[in-house]
Amino acid sequence: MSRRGSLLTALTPLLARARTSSRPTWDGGRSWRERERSEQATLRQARGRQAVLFLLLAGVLAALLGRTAYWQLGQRDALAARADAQHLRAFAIPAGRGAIYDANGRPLAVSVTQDSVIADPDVIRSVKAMDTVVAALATLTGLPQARVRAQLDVPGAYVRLRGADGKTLLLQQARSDGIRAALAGGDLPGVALIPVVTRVYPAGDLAAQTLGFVSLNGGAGQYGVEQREQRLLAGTPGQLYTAVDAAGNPLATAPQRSTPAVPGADLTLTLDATVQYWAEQGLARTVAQTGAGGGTVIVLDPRSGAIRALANVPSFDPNAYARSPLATLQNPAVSAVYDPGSVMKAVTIASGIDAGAVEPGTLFDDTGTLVAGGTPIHNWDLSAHGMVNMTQVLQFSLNTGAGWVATQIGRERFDRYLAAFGFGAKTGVDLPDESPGIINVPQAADEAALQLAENGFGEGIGVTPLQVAAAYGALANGGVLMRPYVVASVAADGGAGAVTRTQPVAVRQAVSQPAARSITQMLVSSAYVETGMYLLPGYSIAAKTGTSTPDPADPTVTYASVAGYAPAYDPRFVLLVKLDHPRTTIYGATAAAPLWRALAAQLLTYYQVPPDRTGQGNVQTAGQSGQDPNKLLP
Amino acid sequence: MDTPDPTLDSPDGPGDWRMRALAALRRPLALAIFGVAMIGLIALLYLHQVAALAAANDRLATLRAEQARLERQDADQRARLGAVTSPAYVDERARALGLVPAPLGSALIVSINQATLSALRDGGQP
Repeated sequence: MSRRGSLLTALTPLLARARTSSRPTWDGGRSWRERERSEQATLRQARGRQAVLFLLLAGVLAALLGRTAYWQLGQRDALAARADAQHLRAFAIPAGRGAIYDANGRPLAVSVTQDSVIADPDVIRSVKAMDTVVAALATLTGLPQARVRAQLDVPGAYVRLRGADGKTLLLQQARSDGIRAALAGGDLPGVALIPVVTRVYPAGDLAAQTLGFVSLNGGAGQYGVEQREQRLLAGTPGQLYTAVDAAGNPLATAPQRSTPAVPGADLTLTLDATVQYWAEQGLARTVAQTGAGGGTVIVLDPRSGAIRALANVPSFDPNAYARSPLATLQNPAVSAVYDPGSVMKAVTIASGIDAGAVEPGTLFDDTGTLVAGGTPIHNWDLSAHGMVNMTQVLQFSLNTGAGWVATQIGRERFDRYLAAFGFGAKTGVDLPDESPGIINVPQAADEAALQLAENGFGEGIGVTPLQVAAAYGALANGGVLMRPYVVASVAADGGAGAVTRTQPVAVRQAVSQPAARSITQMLVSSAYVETGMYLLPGYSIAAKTGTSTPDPADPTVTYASVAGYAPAYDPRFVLLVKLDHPRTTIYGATAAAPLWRALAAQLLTYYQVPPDRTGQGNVQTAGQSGQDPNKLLP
Repeated sequence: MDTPDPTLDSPDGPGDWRMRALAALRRPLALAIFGVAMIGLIALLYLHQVAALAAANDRLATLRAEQARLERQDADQRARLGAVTSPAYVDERARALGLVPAPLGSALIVSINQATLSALRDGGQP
């Protein structure tokens, strides 16, 4: 059609010219030929115009097709997103933070949602409802009318109601329900409820440094398990992508795309709240009685490495962490490094026995002084004890004897034993900010010799309380060092999902089982004589005291400690008590041992451990020397 | 020859009544009425579905609000449980009731084998 039409259009001027031209003449046919040529020329012109028109139309059509392809194919996603943005909204679906429980299922940390009240005074004034709203809110929140009015009747467009303590008012469920009903009835114009999620620690400051806390800004865990297990506890927020109504509410009638929120996992700790409470209470009393600057108590299961209690003084209340000094937020049980003192002698002698350097009955001539690297080392009581065996080295806590044993082992082997017991490296406990401790590497031969001897009795080496407890755990556990841990199990999906239990991890065999058995027998003798721990009637106790003064220039910087386990031959717990800078008495045997004994007695009763000895004595086995412990008394 | 059925009367004589119906539908007025009726019916069905969905939407919102309220209540109760089972609270309440901690060593723990335990339970001599 268009081709015929174009042809007619092209022919129209030709026909018109033909009508107006002179009539054809028949003069020999010449005129016809001219006319034919003329018409052919006109036709060629018409065909040319037709081709141009066709090309123009084809070009326009191609341009349109190209543009359509550009928008429909090239820009499809961008256009679809812009269209969606006009009528679709993405709603974040919050994931509830998991709870934390103690080993017996008692809640230690729970997230609670409460409503806070916000109001827009401008809106309230615009509807002339200030008096009504103030009266209603006072009734529903329990605040005095004057306080509510003082907060609402102010210039501005946004007010968050505060309680009598000046903090944001968080409503109990019943009050929230009352305000919500009033809002639904239109009785509170310009007022709204905003949910606020708060982390609550129902037991107050119990195990605060192990738990940590959740910060107000962003809700991330800080310190302790809250920080370490942030990813597990926080869960994964979901998202709902849907059309909304005029009020911005999601429409279920419209197609929706949603990613469900995955609630945070519930954690069950190895901590026993009761043991933790005893440890904290006892430690606080002892710190106060001895005038100490602080202290640490650790209770762990030597067979698994599970930590039953981890108490520190000073501590803080995670419900009000902002008011606590920054230094109290850290967990010194895993991060504070100190010179352990004589508690290391058990490790040294166990290493010596394992290395074959000494035996329990090996004799050492104590002259009261041991010269190492040209420096004399003295006993704590500055006295000489003559010929003593290794058990007596522990009983009298002889620095000379322990230094001599370390020298017999040798620097290289002794360093290997320190590493085997976990010193100089992180224990791998599932708590943040753990310190590996400090083991110096002296260059000069004299310094190296002196340090070797000093390390033998726990000086010149920096350890954490948890490292000491874990090392004693190895002695109690047949020489096998277990990795300490606090998270016993993880219940995914807010406790509704799969439960993953932490499996105990044996790190390594620090010393042989016979060596561990020997040192246990020697420690039983030591505890009997040294600290009066025989006062636990019927039980065998393997323990060693420690007193260190790392800075000779400042005798007030001391650490008093006792580390041990009970019952000695079938241990249920390892217990470490450490006091920082006690004043009334500085020795482990007098400052820390009373608490150690009291806690051990409570634990033996709590764990329902029957006595393993008859009579009042602590000791039946005197060690491989076979001596009667009573004869070992100085 | 049979008498023609008057209901099937047609210009062509007795025939298929469906042909008559189709012929009627070809009339513009009937077609329009039929179309409007169909559209109305479809609209009615659509509105019914939308209303049902809106009601379901409201019900869903109500249930979600109730679920949120119950979750809050659950968290509140767990926090309360944590507070009243905390050793510090139990200690405080016990002291308030006049109880005091037992002195160390006041409990005697004995190990009894199963046979002895059974004998004691039965009231006999172990």
